[in-house]
Amino acid sequence: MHPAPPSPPDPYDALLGRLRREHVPFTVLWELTHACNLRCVMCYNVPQPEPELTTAERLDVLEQLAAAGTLRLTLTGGEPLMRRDFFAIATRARKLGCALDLKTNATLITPAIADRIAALDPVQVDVSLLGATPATSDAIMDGRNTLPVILQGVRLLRERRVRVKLNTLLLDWNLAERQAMFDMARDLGVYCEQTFKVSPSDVGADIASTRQLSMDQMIEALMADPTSFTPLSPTTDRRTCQVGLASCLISPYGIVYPCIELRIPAGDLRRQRFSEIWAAAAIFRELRSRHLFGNLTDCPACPLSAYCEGRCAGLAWKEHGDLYGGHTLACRHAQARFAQQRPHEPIPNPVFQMRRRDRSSA
Amino acid sequence: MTQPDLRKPVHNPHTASRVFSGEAVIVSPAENMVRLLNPVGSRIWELADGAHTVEEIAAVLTEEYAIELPMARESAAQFLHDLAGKELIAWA
Repeated sequence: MHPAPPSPPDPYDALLGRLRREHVPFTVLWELTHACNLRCVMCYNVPQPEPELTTAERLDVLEQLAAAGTLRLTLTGGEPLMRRDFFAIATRARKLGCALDLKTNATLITPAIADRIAALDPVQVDVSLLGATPATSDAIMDGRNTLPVILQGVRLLRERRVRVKLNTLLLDWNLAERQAMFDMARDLGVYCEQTFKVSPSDVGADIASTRQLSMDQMIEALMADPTSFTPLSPTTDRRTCQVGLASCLISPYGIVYPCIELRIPAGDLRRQRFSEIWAAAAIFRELRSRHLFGNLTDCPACPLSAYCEGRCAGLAWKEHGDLYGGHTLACRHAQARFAQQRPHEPIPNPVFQMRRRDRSSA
Repeated sequence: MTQPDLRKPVHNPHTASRVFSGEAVIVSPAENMVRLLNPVGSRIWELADGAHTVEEIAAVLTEEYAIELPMARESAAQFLHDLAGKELIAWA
């Protein structure tokens, strides 16, 4: 009978698996506000007329989350630093034992704000980088002087040894600056991740699809990406994603959703306790019991399934109202991945898109 | 005779942690690492609250596990020493 020395992080996946089986809300993403000082072209938030949660309501929600077992808490927005109570909320979350992540545009970070963020010991601060030139960054963020201000915010955090990750959403506007953005991240000493996903708005409006990369542009980006890829081998009993098992989203208005994309309300924290919503909401029950690859409408028969890494229930639901369907971005991404992996072969058509055409013409 | 260890371990405030069904999960931002403890280590972690001495923690272990006090003292002290070395605890 000896306490074992602390283990390396390898068992973390096993722990997450257990927490998902036991439905512990281990990870919560909380949109503290939909207010923002920028107006990015691809922003999916739709501010509501109702008031956001008060500070007292937020502190009560934090107590409920801690009691339910939430350890990883990501604070986002809008721009979360727009909230005057941001540090009251974040400090209380830390005192309740939560590990904090922060998603910010970094434009409001002064030396004093950076000091206060560092004092929270965040696990990571995610910052959006949308261009390597001032003109591109300003155009996408609809702001002035955004790039130098963002980079200064990142530097202030790095000087305080805060871990920063740059998120680079590739759009047709900034694709030509992709490598320059990676170089910028390297010079700052931070990790940079590229994504393609332009989300429809919270209410489903296709606000930014005109800026979404075409398939040829995705192929170009994947060809330039040194990250390795192993073709998938999905089985019918495999979950398509972990939505609803150990994580959820809370909106500024106290509405609980399964995730940032899937805006089907699970409950209202102004009327219900978090534990009640988490345990009993119909959408959580459905996702936990039925969200398996074999239950998807079209995907199991798709010749691209081994290359499909981005199928998302929320995007499918936003695009055509079917939680179990495919969606345009995932199909396009899978075709681009196929082309990258098998460059001399014809690219198959996704079953979802063929059947959708058939359904619409019938 | 070994002197009782009256130091009081306390979680480093830079960490974040939860105990799930007897298994402690510790997030250490400084290490960029999540550490998991086994049930005995998790119990020691729970008791490292700044209020219990190492001697008291060892006494709890003898009540809850089939272990004699000298072994419990040695195990608890060594384990807490390891945690302190990783800056997961401090001494109150």
